[in-house]
Amino acid sequence: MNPSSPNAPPLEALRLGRLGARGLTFFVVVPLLLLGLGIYAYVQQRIHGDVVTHMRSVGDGGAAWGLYIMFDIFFVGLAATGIAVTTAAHLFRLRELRPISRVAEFVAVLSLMLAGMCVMADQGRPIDALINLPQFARVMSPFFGSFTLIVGVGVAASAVMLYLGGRGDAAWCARSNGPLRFGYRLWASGYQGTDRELSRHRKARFWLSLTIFPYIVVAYSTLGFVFGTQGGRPGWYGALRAPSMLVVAGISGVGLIVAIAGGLQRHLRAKDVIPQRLFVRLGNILLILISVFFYILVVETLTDFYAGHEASLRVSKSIVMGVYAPAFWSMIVVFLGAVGILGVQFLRRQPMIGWTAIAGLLVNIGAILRRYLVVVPAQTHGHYMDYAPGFYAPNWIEISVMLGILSFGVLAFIAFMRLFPIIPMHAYYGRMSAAPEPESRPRTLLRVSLTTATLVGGIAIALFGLAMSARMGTEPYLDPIFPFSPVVFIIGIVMTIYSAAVYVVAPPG
Amino acid sequence: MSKPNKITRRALFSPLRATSAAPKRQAETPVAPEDVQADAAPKRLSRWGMAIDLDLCSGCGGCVVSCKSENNVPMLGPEQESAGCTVEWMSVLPRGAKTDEPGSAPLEVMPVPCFHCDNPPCVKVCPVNATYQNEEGIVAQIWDRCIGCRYCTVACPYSRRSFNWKHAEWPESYRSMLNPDVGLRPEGIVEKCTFCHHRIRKLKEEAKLAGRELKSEEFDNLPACSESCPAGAIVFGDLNDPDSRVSRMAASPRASRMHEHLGTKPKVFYLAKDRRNL
Repeated sequence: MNPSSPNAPPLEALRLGRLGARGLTFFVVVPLLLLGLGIYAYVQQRIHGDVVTHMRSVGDGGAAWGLYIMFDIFFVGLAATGIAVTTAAHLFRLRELRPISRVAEFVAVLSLMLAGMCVMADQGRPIDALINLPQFARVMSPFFGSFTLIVGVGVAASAVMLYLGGRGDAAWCARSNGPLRFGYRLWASGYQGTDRELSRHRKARFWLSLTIFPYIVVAYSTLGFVFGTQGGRPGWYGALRAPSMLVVAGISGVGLIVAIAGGLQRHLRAKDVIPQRLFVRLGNILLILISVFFYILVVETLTDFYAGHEASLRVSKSIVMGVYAPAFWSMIVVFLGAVGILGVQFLRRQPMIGWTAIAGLLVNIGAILRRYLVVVPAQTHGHYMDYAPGFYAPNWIEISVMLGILSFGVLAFIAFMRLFPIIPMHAYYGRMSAAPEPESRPRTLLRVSLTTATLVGGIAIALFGLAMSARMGTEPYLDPIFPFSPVVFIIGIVMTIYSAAVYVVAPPG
Repeated sequence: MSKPNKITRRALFSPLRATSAAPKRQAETPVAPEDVQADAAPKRLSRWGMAIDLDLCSGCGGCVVSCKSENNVPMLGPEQESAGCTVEWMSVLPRGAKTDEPGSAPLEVMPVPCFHCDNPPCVKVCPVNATYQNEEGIVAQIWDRCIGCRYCTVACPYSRRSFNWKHAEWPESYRSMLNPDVGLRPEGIVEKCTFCHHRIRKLKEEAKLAGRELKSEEFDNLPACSESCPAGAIVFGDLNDPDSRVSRMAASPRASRMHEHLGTKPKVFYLAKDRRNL
């Protein structure tokens, strides 16, 4: 179907229309109020110091990392899965995933922004962090991977995927006479929809997907290493920390995408676009991931209880039968609830869209509880010294800041849905009418040259930045050889990723 | 024919390196030795360490008070400190008592400074190199560079790092007593014991001006905690000097280091209670 045909649903069907009174209250007014509350709470934290939170010194019965770090891991996990879904759609040509690929791409970009906000909310000196991290980030620190790969590369990769995937729709939106026309034209950047252009798009997205697929594993594993490599912190130290975090990231990401897809199917006229079997497939994937998570959980817990190392056992006991037991058993119940819903769907082989969406939300609650149990008990109970054990639960300041950050995410998502088709138009209409193909043989010299230059230059700059940051061949514990080397590394990686966009957009020559 | 001068990468970037406020450790610096004493190096650097004789320690807490006073460690008041905001470079901790079991009383106590590990987990994890190990083995902290991420505090197996949860307020009567040799730390950063390295530097400078050689005995009670210990339980010194008192104590069969299995190689040695005296 062509969008210009009289039977075609209007463009507005793919964008969020005007919200009703209830929608306006839930999706705009309440988030705006919560955002205001979050800003107020954060200002209080900055004025009076982090003492206004419930985070406290490790050894004094407190946890130095709390709600902010939990949600940082949560958001990075969502982003990793968002990128994984969109890359899987292009790598394995999974057509079913195409309608939700934009949701996944935008979730990835947005989640990384929210993760960055969480990290900044956690820092004792956020302004210094913004200056010192780009200047002095050390490769030896597991934070280096989080800072460069997740913040730099993750944002760049998901933004390029979003940009490439949205060019055609931006070109369509640019035909209207709205105030954002210039923005749409900029995004479309001369998109014509010719066969050759589409072929270039396909190639670029395939190779980009192939490149960034391993990145997802590496980047998210570095976040696991932040905890798993700490030999002095029982409850964190262990080889299973990174893979288990990767699995929980997959659970929360797939869960959120299923929930959003369910919502879109209900509220946009997208029943024909988002196939019902997609919910069955994603539900089954979720079921497998939850099973793997349960396996890891049992292995971890059994090892601790069987080996009985005093400090590790203290952490495990606090989780399973101690002060953190309510959170642990709530997590188990929530995951089992999701397993029940998804299991029924699996056995019936019939899509239960509403229930699957609920399961998607449930697993996200479970994933947040799991992050709490990973981050906190090891700090309050995982001591080698004879410190008294303690407890951590966030207070109103931390909860308000977190609600503010989440509300910002909701508002950004609603704004994006209002301004741009959240479901790709080609998923609705099929391929749009293409501009006539020029008959002459395509000239590609300039395009290929520019792409090669960006790609090779990017790799060279990244390697140079890494070598300067890591002080290869000298002392690993010192500063980068020259300040801002980590930024050079990020620029190199971003250039490498952007070479895909250059290949698509550059003039043929 | 003479060879042309080869421009090395180090030489090429030396002007740039000079501009950074980096903690510098010379590449030629001998690596810190594995055990108590270092291998002989052409020019021997000190390797500062501490030995604490638990047989002599009465748990009076004098070391804690003198450390606070010497290093301008903020006192937050009982309310904040009981709320888990304590900033302490030297603590007296219960030992051997299961503090999570109700009714159990601590049997022994021990003074616990930063252990200035040879393989410090806190240095490994710091994302901005705000903490580093200097050429004499002291794990130091650059206050102004710290971003307050608290990774070092959660990575330290001994929890010997304190975060400034709030802005330190000094009573007017106390301001005149602040030690001018030690800077005040801003809120939102992590701080820790420095082995009173300002005292080491001062002593070295004084000896240099006087043109005399330093004796190992001069370091024995140099840090504030050691100086104030009425029982003389805390001894400081150069572990690379086999004749220093701290080296001899560290070599004692009673000496051990805290949780050696972690591989952090602390430079604080504890001498166990001599049961024959009981």
